[in-house]
Amino acid sequence: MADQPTPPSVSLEGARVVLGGRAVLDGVDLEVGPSERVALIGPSGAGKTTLLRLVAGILPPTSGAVSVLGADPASLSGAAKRAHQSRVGLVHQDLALVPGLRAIQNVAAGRLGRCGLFRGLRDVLWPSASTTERIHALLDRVGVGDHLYQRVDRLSGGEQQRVAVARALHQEPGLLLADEPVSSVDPGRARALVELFVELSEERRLPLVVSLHDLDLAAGYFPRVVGLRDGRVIFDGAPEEARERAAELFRTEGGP
Amino acid sequence: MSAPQAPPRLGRRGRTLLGIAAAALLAAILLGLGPTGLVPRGAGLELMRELGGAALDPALDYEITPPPGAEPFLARVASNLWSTVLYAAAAMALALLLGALLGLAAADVTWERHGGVAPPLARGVQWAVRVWIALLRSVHELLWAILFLAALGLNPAAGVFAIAIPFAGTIAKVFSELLDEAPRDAGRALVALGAGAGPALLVGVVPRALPDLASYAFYRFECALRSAAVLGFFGAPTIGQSVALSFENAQFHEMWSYVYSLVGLVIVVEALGARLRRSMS
Amino acid sequence: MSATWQELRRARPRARFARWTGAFAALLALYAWTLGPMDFGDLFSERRLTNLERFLQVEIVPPEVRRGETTWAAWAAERIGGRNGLALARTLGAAVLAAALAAAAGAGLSLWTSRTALAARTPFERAEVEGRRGLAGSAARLLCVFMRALPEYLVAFLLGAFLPDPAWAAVLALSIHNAGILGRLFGETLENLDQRPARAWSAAGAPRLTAALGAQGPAALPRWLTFFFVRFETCVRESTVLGALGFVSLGHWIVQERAAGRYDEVLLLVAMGGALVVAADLASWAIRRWIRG
Repeated sequence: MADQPTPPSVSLEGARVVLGGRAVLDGVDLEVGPSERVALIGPSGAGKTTLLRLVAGILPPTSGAVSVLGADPASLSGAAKRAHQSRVGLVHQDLALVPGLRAIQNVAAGRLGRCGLFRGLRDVLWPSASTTERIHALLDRVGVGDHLYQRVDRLSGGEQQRVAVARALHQEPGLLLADEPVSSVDPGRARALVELFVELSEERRLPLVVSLHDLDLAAGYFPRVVGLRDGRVIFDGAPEEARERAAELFRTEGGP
Repeated sequence: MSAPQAPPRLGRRGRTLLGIAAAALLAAILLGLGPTGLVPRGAGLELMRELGGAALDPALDYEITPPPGAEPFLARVASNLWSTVLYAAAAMALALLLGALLGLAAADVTWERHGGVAPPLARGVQWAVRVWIALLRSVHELLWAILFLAALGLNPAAGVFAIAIPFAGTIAKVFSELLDEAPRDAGRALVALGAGAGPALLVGVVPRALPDLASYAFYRFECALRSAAVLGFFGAPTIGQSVALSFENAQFHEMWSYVYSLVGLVIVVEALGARLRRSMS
Repeated sequence: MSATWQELRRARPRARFARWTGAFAALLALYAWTLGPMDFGDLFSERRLTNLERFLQVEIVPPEVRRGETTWAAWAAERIGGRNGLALARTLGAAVLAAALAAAAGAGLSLWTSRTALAARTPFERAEVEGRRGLAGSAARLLCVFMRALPEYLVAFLLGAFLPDPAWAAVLALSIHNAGILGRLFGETLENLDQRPARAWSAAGAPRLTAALGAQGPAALPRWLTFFFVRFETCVRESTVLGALGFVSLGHWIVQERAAGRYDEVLLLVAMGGALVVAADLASWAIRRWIRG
């Protein structure tokens, strides 16, 4: 073999997460290669959010092995942990923007993991010309460049969503995660937003993991779809397989 | 199986209301308050009539000719008001600084870490700060003024500190409550992207509480104006001193002018605070 | 790109009022600390420091303790009852009574300060109350503003001048100020309530006052009680000083003992006042928790 095998961006082996006495993730194996795009689908409560939080290093696994961008987040602490977390861009389902601040300030906050207290605060409160230019370009790329100086609570839900994406990109991540990014936008905009994620992943060679509740969106835009149910991976493969086996995810317990 | 209990005829709120009424009645008995204590007689009645009449006719000039060289009456009112504002502003500046720091130290959100529970040492510091805040708050600003007066003698800075100490405690308590009531999602998200606890708090949480913090600070400034005015009864050169002096000299028309100027000032500050609140939300 | 960031920056929305207010407040604070009344030279002068030293080492130490005949604790325990204990009880009593009176007056005022409580809810009522309501409402709101603008101490000073009983002067002063605050807060609570039940009562023919009290009272009570207890806490604090105007309570003895130069007693009474305030805060917190169940 001439080629060195490239290490996967995400690798979970038998990952198990117990929250409040319940196994929310139960023995999940998952590998995501560099610049691979994966959609997670499954009913609510299947463990999609927990899986993303595990990958983002917000939750430690109860057991099993986790490796993200070549490191186990749970084994890191202090500055190393912060540096690692700043390399993972997560767009939260509730966006988690700061309502009273402008779009530019919210995006600038994406760099807080990269610099010290004073530098970070200065960038949020009084961003320099170069930072401003960079953030404007990012916001422009995601389609809300003109709202650079608007307070985010004055923006529509879809526009806020795009600001949250820009904040994740401003982190200069090595991995992009999005938790149900289209749960609160109408179907037409949902399509445009998923397209945006896919384009961004392609042009930046970013591995992408997005959780979705809509099978058509997942199968239409992602070469690989992972189906979760009750904290277990039910299937993991091409969109065709997902379409065939989707019924297994949403079947009610004790049904025919 | 036990028989279903009949619901009490009076809920907890109803019982609280009854309790308040009973306590008020007991208090009235303890204080020996009766209707006769409310009806002015003789000299008191005379004084009430005089005060009431003067209330409708506040003075625009000195009631008796002042010594030559004295500033015009309205200028005197204005300068009294200005020194009241300065006392209040100096006290509030100090109280806000101390209160904001103590409030941050007393809030749960400051010490909360990933996984929720703060380390025991942090809990210890937090509770020590909370007790300290309660102690600062518990002694009234006029009592601090009396203590300082006894310990140091008459000094303006002592008056300012007297107001600043309990105000810092009150501001700290309310600030920590407002910070803890603010939604945490953004702050947690910033920690998740690698921000330190300090930046996450200052960028993710404080801005969400800022409108409420600012509006409360404005209300406290209004209270500081009233306290500074009353400090005049204890020797500070604020509006209360002029009220007390003109009352002792039976210059009631002048006295009401001082009182009304304070009322006007407080109302203006309250209106500004309301406007600020609207502009920030 | 449609607009450059410089263009966007020039056109950015600005919170002008908040900024100017903030800048003005900062300037005022700076002026007050530098060119204002503060005289630090005097504060840290030899004379002040000698005063402070004498106060801390001699004046606040009871003579018996200084002579070694007794301990601080024994000395204080001996004085907590009797005259001082009664003063403590009277201080608390004035606060309780004043808070209750203020709540009653505030509840009455709130019917007018709220824009909804007594407003017309049916076309029939609209014809009946046209115009009059607005005027009464403005008058009530203005009255509340005036009542809360005056410091309690100043009101007690004025009332004490002609009322035969100084205790009444203290109680009334406390309740006037707090009724002004509660009148507004209670009214705002009524405005923010769901108006549909009251409309239903009115449509069924209930008089406006009956509809306001019957349909809105129970819903308003939880918040009203919260406001009441917060004001009760401030009443206790304030009540510790109103005695300085002659109402026999903690403040009265503090001023008397200070005039006599017995600072050990002054300190004890101030500490008793502080303990009372902390105890009242705790009690009010416990009762509020109990109400929530």
